[in-house]
Parts: sequence; structure tokens; C-alpha cells
Amino acid sequence: MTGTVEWNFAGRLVERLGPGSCLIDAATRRTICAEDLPRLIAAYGAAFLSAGLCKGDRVLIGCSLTPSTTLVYLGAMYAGLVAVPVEDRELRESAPKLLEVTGAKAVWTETTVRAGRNDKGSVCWLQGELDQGELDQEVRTMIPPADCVAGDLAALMATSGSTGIPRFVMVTHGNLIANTEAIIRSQGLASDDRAMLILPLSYCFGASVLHTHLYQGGSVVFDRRFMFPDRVLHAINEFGCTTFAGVPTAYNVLLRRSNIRQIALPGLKRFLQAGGALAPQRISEMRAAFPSTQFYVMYGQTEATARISCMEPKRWGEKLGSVGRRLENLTVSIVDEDGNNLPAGQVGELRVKGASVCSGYWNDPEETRRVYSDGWLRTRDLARRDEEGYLWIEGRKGAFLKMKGIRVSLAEVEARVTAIPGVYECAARGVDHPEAGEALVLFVVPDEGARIPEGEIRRLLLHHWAVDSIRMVSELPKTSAGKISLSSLPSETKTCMQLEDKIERLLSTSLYRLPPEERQAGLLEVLREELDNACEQHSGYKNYVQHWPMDYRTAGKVADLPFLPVATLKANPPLSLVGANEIKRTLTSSATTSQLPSRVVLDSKTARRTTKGVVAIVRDFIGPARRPYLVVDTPGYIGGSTLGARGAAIQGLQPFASETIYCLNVDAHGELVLDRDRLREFAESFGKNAENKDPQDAEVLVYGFTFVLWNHLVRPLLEENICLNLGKAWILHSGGWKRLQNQAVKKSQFNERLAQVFGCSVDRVIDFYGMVETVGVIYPDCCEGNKHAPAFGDVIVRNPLTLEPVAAGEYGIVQVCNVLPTSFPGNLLLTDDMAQVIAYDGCLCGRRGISFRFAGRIPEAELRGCGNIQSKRSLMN
Amino acid sequence: MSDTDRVLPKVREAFKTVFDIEPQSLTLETSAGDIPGWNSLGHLSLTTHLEQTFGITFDVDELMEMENVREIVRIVSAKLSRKA
Repeated sequence: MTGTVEWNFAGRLVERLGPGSCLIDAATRRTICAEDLPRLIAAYGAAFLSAGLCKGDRVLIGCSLTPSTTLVYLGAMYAGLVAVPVEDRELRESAPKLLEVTGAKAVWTETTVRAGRNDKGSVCWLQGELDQGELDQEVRTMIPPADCVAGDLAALMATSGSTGIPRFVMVTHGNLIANTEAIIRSQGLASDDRAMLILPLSYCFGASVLHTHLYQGGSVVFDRRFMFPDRVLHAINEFGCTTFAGVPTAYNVLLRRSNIRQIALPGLKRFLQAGGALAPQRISEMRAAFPSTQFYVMYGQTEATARISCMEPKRWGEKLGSVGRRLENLTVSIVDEDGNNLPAGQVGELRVKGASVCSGYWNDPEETRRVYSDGWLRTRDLARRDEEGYLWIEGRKGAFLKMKGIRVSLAEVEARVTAIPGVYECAARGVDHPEAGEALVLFVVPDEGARIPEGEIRRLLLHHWAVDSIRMVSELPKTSAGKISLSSLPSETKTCMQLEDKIERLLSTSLYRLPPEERQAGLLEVLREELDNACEQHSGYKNYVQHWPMDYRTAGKVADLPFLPVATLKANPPLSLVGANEIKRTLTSSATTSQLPSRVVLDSKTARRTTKGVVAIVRDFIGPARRPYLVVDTPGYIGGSTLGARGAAIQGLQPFASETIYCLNVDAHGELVLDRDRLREFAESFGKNAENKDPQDAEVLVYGFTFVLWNHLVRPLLEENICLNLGKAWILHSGGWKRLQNQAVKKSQFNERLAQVFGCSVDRVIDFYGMVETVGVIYPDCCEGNKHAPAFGDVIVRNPLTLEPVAAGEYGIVQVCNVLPTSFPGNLLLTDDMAQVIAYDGCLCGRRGISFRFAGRIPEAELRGCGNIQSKRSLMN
Repeated sequence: MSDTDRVLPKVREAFKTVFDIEPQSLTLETSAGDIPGWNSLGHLSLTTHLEQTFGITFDVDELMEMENVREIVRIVSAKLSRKA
């Protein structure tokens, strides 16, 4: 069958664009107007083709809520390619995995992303917007849409099922056309309609709002600022939006955390709600607040392109709680366990058939067979249909409990609890119960300022419900699309676990071998809890955290958590989260480049963890044996209740020592001098010449501050051509290169000379980075010359101006994350150091996660550039 | 005679020497937080003393596990039985 232009969804959409069609970025007011829109879509499509892509090739698109993402997405389809919209953040983090799963030939992102290695070598990376030259060229020869048949793939859409494995639904041009047209009819969209879009394109609901409005000749406004809901409400008026679309969370936010009742929205014609059940009484509240704006509830699944049913607003009186009737071009049936059709009123699995039902999952025939059969999509949602054909979703298959012999849907429980006055949100899950069989665990978020006693909630629940526990929480974890993330709800065992045990668990896990996603999840949980504690202990810090643009309790990424500029630790008296009598030790930084030293206070718990942290890291590099320890320093640096960076490093390695020998003395002028006798004695006892038969025992450990090692040991011995013959020495050094730069010594050169003097191979010389503020974490070089973050911490490298995490290959400011300290707010610190991200995973040394290299201090000028750090700093005062 | 009975008295002696703690006040549940001076440096003095007393050596993993008296007794006993 030969294709025709008519089946190209994006081609059709471009053809139907009207004189008023445009894309507007609300934050910047940038507008792409109707004249440019078709040519730009075609130009992006053409750009992919000129990059060598062919029909059917997949293009990974890192989506943000912007016009340019839309152009690229539609452009790819227009050119006959398969658009794979994923969230920009997800792409940054899991590019290699996404490339592998989708087999994509090209990747586009708004900003550079080149995470990880791609072994195929054939992937084409594109970024940003086409420049004028490219545009002129592509626009001159505006390409026609690629010929398609209805069954040609247009997009792969990620399913929101949060199992951790990305699964993609295959959406064809025919699916998109059928669903888009049916939705348009169900909502009566016209060419003067304009959508306010706060949902990502990578989510089928967001994509469908975009499709329907443009397809009908209307326009779309993008707004990324829904964390400040009032701004979005004002933007609806400013840009004359007629449609607002949101998931239940969005409506909860509008009703409880915005000034929606004070901000009139006279031009808004309709609210669209999908993506899970919004409590019926919230629907009523919305309708009461906006009597002249239609409220549409829709039900859908990615597996059926987007929407399946729509509740038309005029029937709310009788049908509150229903998801409406099927879209006109779909057939639905309710079936029992054996697949037999059930009559009206009976609950069974909802199945759907029709032109917008997709054909399956990309490269996953097994799951496709499970979910699709004979053209029917098994939604795995339990529903009933009334005599008039209205559908009522009773819950997710599997999301039912059998309590005291009666089946209860979790969705029903959640709806009932949410209806209790004073309750903002609720999530329910089941646990085994000795008497009832199963029982409920309820996570309840009270309305702001409301206090509802647990007993009150219990009293209002149905008598046949067994309740195991009710947890009052301040927030429920949400996915990026705003849905409640069931998998992130704390499970029974997790909540029972004390913070101390959680930190301990991260310390004892395989330090550098966790897959990045797993590491993120573990860190996020602990860091959030630590932020809770820190805010409780320090009102200034709490104030700072509250002014952070993102709520840490709902943040989905460690990178979104509020970090402190390391300079805040210069405060005097030092920032402390514990009582003065609990402080066991104060660490001070050497103030070489900055005038004031940082001070960090350690209580005994934090001190113990930091010892363990350093040991766990060093052990990964040199093994668990203890061995003679040569400290190229004086004993004077150890002991006392305050400790500098040098002392902390010397002491941090002490657990690896079977005995400790210091080989520097202080002479009468206060200068460090080499104690040659001690050094000779050490070399003779443990060196090659020693009559030592057990090779294990001949291993030694050497530590010195980089410039001390160079000036007081390496240089003098090199001049005299002395070799210590310590072939099994591990030589660790730290402290940086600043003081050696005057002597023009490069790192590689330094390491070679060091190895030469000790008589060992250069791969036994390890340079590590550490700073007193990152207690318990040091960053040794791996055999590839890269640094890595351990499981109990992470490193984020941020663009100096935007503070967004940079892409692999780029330079930025180092932020360290560290779960170890609980005695000062040092879990998330933005340092004054720059680094280059080598890769976000896949270092050849075998360590997982980010690999990076330090690149010196931030030049002062750039530090002033990050104005928002500076201003955030002032909030602490 | 159980491992604990054999090992505990000498462990108590070590605590007396290193931290000046009355041997009888030391129980199996005593942990680092309970004794002034049992910090990271004190821990190294203690373990070095134990190594000398029992004629054994610990690796760094064992060092890190010895967070309370019970763990110390367990690890020392295991070492001794392997030696025997």
C-alpha cells in the first residue's frame, strides 16, 4: 500500500492551522505566529532528514514546556520520523538506556545533552533551535509532509506506569488522527480556542491538548510556572486562554493553594481534567467557583493514544463521579474474569476497541499480548456502565482490598477520605492484617492550617473498613505529570526504619555499583528526611528552604532539593543543628583562597559516620587490609577538638594503619623538615630489601598533603636521586594544586615523580579531593583519572548562570550531596569549585554514576554572576 | 566456657587501660556513645590494644563493625577460633 500525504498527522495538522494559530511561551512571552508555524515545523523536519535520518527512524526528544519542543516534535512526525518525547530531565539522566530501548537514531534537546557513551556511534545529537542560516535554507525549500499510511508509527509514548523500566506505546498516524478528531468533537473546540498547557508533551494528556487545539486551528500557551499557580491564572487572562487542562493534583492546588476564588477568569471556557480521579466534591467546588466555565472530566490511557471517554458538563447534576461516555469512534465493553460481556450496572474490566486504540508496546511482544488482544485493549481498570452508557471507574485492577470478606476499591477509599472536611489529599494502600485479611494504610494530607485528629477520620470511615494505620503527612509524592506516585509511598518497613539506619544502609551498600536511578531513590528519601530535621532545628535554614522555588517534600530529583552555597558555613558562630553540649568536634577549612575559614560542627553520630564514610571510600580503592602508615607530616596536626583539612585527612586514613610513622619534623624556625632517619627506617623495614616473606605485610600506605609531599619529600629525594623501593606502597595525596602551580608542576608529572621516588607504579598514586565541609566524603581519582560519587552522596555539576545541571562534557560548579552530616546543614552544598562532567554513567573503571574532573576554583567574576545564590544567601540572615 | 566468658574479661581490661572505665560498668550493650573518649581516635587505641592483647590483627571492615562491646566480643572470638 502506498502512503498519501493525508495520513500524515502532523501534515494534516499543519494544513489545518488557522490565521490565529500560534505557540506562546508565557514566561518569556515569545510567540511563534501563524505565518511562521508551518514553515518552522517543516524546517525542523527537514533538518532531521538532512542529518541523514530516514522514514521510521526514532528521534528522542527531550521535552520541556516550550514552543521549540513542539516544533521539533511535530517536525519529526511531519518528516515521517517517529517522535519519542521524553522529559528533558529523564533524557539527561538516562540517555544511554533510552537510546538502547528505542533504538533512536537522533536525539534532540533544548540544551546540550550528551550523557553517557553511546557505543553505536551512529546517533546524531542535535540541540537548540535552528539558526537563521539553517532556517532560511530549510524554509526556502519547504518540504511536503512525508507520505504515510494510517498504520505508520508517528510516536512512541512512554507509559506513566512507574516500574522504573521505560515502556513505550506505539502510536500511529491513524491513532492520532482518530483520537484528536474525536476529542475535538467531544469538547466542541473551535479555531478561536487557546489552551493553557502546564502538562509536558511527553505525557499523552499534555500531547492531546496540544494536538487538538492546533488541529482545530487554535493556539497553545506554555507555562512552566505552575509551582506558582497564581502566575498561571494571571497568564490565562493575559494571553486569553480558553482551555485549562490539569490532573487531579493541579485542581487540588488551585482550590487550596492559589487565589483562584479572587482571580476571575472571564475568558476561560473549559477546564479539562484527566489523569486519575478527582474527588467528586472537588469537581463541585470547581463548578461552584466557576459557574460559567465548563468542567470536563475525561478518562484515558496512553495505550489508547490519549482519551477514551468524556463527561459532558451538562449532565453533572445526575452523573457526578462518572468519567462520561466513550468517545464516538470507540467501542467499549465491560467483561468478567473470563472475558464475558457484563450487563449494565455490573463491575468488570473495561475493554476498548477502535481507531485510536494503539497496536502495542515497542519491542515488547510479551506485554503487548498481555494488554492487547483481537484489537481490544484491556485497560486493567474496573468499571461499570449505566443504562445510558456512562462509565464509572471503580478502581484499578489489583487496587482492591478484601477487608472482612468485602472487596473495597482503594479509589473509593481515597475519594471518601478526601471528602472529609479538612482533608486536602489522601492515598490508600493495603497491608496484610491478621483478622480482617487486609487492612488500610491511609496517608492523609490535611488542608493548610487544618488539624484533623486521626480519631475523627476513623470515625467517618465505613464500618466494614479495617484500618491498620493513618499517617498524617505534609505532602504525597508525585510524578512529574503530577500524579500521586504509588511506588514512592513509604512502605511499612521503610517508615519503621530510623533515619540512622537509612544512613547506615547507604554507607554499607555497594558504594560505587548502584545504578543511577537506584542511587537517586535512596538518596532522595534520606535527604528529604534530613531536610525535615534541619528545618525543625534551625529557623533561618527553614526560611531559606521555604523560599526555594521547589518544595523539597515533593521534589522528584536530588538536583531539585535546596542547596546552600558553601560560604554560608563561614558563619560565626557556626551553623549548628545540635545543642552546644553535643558538639564533639569542630572542623575548620584552611582559608587559602578565601579570607574566612568554614567551620563545621560534628556531634558524635556525625563524627562516627564520617570515619565510616572515608573508610568505605578508601577501602574501595586499596582494599580492607591495615598496613604501616607513613604520614608525610608532623604529629602536631592530630588531636584536639578542632581539626583542619590536613589533620582530618591524616586522621581519616588512620583506620587503615597497623602502625603510624610521621616523617616530618618542625625545626627551630617553625619550618617543616624531612626526618631522613625515620624515612630510611620505614623504607628498610617494609621495602623490597626487607626480608619480608608475606607479601601482604609489605603493603604500606603513604599520605601527605600534595604540596607538602612535593616540597618536603619528592623534591629533595629526586635531587639526590634516592628511591625508597616501596613497590607496594599506596600513595594518597590531597590538598590541591594551587600552591604548586607557581612551580609549574602538572598532576601527571607529579604522580610520576612520586611513583619514581617511592619505587612503585604510578597507578598506586591516588590524588583525592576532599574538603572539610563535605565531611566523610572524599573523591579519589579512579584508574581512568576520573572522580566518582559514593552511594551515600552524589555530585551535581551546575551551569554557573542557570544553575541547571550541565550535560556530560560540560563544565560547571560542583554541588556535593552527602547524607552523613546531621549536626550542621551540610547535606547539599554548592562549592566554589568547578568541574567537568565526563559522563553520567559508564566509566571504564566500572564505577557507576557520574564521573567528573575538578577544574579549579570558580573565577570571582563568575561567582558574582550567580546572583540568585547570592540573594538566597541573604535569606539566611 | 562460652566465647563471651573467655573474651569479655580481657576486653574489659582493655577498656580499663584505654578509657579508664570500671570493668564492671561495662556490659555487652555498651557502645561508643556511652563512653567518653570512645571516639575515632579512642577506637584506634582500643583496637590496637586488643590486637596486642589477643595477638590478632583486624582489617578495616572489622574495625568499623566493632561499634559496641557485643560486636567486639564476637569479632575477637571469631578471630581467636580461626587462629586456633
